[in-house]
Amino acid sequence: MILAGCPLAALAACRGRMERGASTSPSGLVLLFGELRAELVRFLAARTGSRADAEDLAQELWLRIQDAQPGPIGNGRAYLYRAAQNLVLDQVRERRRREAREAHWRAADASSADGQVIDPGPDAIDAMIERERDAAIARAIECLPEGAGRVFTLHKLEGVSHSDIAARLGISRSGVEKHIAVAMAHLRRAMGTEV
Amino acid sequence: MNDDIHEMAALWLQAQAHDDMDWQAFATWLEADPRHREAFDDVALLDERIDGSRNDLARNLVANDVDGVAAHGRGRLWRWGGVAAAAGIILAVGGAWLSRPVVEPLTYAAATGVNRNVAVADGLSATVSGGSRLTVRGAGRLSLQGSAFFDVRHDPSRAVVVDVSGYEIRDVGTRFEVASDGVSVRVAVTQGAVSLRAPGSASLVRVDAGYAATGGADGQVRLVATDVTAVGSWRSGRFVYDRVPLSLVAADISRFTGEPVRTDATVGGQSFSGVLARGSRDSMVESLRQLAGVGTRREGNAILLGPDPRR
Repeated sequence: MILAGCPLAALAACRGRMERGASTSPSGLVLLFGELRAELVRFLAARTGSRADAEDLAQELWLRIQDAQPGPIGNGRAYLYRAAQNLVLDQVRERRRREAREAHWRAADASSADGQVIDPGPDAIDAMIERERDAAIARAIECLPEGAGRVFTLHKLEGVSHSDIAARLGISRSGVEKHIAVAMAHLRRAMGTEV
Repeated sequence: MNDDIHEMAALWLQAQAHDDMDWQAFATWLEADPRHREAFDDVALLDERIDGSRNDLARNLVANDVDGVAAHGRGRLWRWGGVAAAAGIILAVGGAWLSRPVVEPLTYAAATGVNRNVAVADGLSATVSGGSRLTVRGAGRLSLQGSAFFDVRHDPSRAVVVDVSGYEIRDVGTRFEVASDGVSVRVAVTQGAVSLRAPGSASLVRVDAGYAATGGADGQVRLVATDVTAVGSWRSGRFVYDRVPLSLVAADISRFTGEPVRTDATVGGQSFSGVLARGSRDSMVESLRQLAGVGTRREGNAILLGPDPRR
C-alpha cells in the first residue's frame, strides 16, 4: 500500500505526487479525498444547488472509494471529481425518470374512460419513453446545421476522435469542440425539456 | 433557456475529458446562475442518451463491405455522408468508471469479412476485424478474441486493459494493434507505448511505437522492431505482414473468410513477411503456401499448414 511506506514527514510529498498525477492507489484515493473534501463539497453544492445534498453525496462518494478496484488510477483528483459528477448525474437521471413516469401516468389516467388503467410496470414505461425519445433524437440530428452536424456525427456516432476530425476537416480541436457544443445546444432545444 | 448557456454547458462537458480540466472554474460557472446547473444536467443526460442510442441510430444504416465505408446511402443519417457502415456501437460510460459498473459485459462481434468500428467510450475507439469479438466489462477492462486496432486518447485518470488469450495489455494513451489465434498474442504499437504481461507473470514488457511483441503458449515474450505501415493494414483491406508468426496469419485468414485454417506445431511459429490479397480461403492459403514455403493438407473442414513436403 502506497501510504504504509510513507513516514509522516514525507506524507505531504506523497499527497503532492498523487495530486500531480502520479499513480494513485485506492488507499491513496481515500487520503486524497480527505484533502479535497471541502472543494468537492463546494463542487457538489454548485452542481446540485443544495449544501445538504452535497454533504450526502460527499459521504456516498467516500463510501464508494473504500471498495474501489485495485490497480493504478492515475490522476486521483480528476478521478474524484468525475466520480462526484457521476453521482449527481445518477440522481438527476433517476429524478427525471420518475417525473416522466408520473407525467405518463397522469396522462393515461386522464384519458382512461372507465378509470381502469393497465399497469405495464415502471420498466416498461421507461422503455417506451426511451424509444420515443430516441426517435426524436434521430430526427433532431438530421436537422442539425451543416458544419455542426457533420462534426457531431463523426464524433458521437462514428467515434472519430477530436484530433482526427480536426485533421480531416482542417480545423482546430477547440473548433471541433465548439461545433459539437453548437450541435448539443440545437438538440437540446429540439428535444424540449424532456432529455 | 437560450442556446448560449447550453453551448457553454456542452463545452464544459467536453472539457472534462482533458487533463487540464479546471474543476473549480466549472464550479464558479455553476454558482453564477441556477440555470447553469440545469443546462448542464440537460446536456450531460442528452449526451449520455445519445451514446446509449447509437445502437438504434446505427440500425438505420446499411452495414457492408470490408473497408467499412457505406456503399450506398440508405438510412436516416445518410445526410451526413455515410456514417461508418460497420455499425459502430457504443457503451455509455462517463468520464469516471467508478459509479458505472457494467453489470452485463457488452460484446461487439464483427461479422465475417466486415470490420467493425466501435466507440467504446469517449477517447477509446477500436476497429474490430471481421470475425473477431471485443467484450467490454467496465472499469476500463476489455477482452478480445481475434484481432483489433485500438486508438486510445491519453487520459491519466483511466487505465485501459485488454485481456487476450491470458495476456494482458495495459495502455494509457496509444494506437496499437492486437492479434491472437487463441493461444499466441502479438501486439504492435504505432504510437505511444503499451505494457504486455504474460499469463501468470508478474513482470511487464514495455512495447514502444515501432515495435511488436509476440507471446506464445509458453508465456515467453519476444520483441522486434516492426514496420508501422504494416500495422493495422487490414483495416483498409490489405493483409500486410512484417515478421508475424504463421499461426496468427492462419487465424487472420480463418476469421476473414469464415473458414478454418490452422498451422501445425512445426510451422506455427515460423516468421512470415509478405502481403496477402483478400480472396477466398483457397486463394489466400495458396498465396501463403507459396510465399512461406509451407505445405497444406485438409483436416476435416479445416486446412492445415505444415512443413513443405517437397523439402
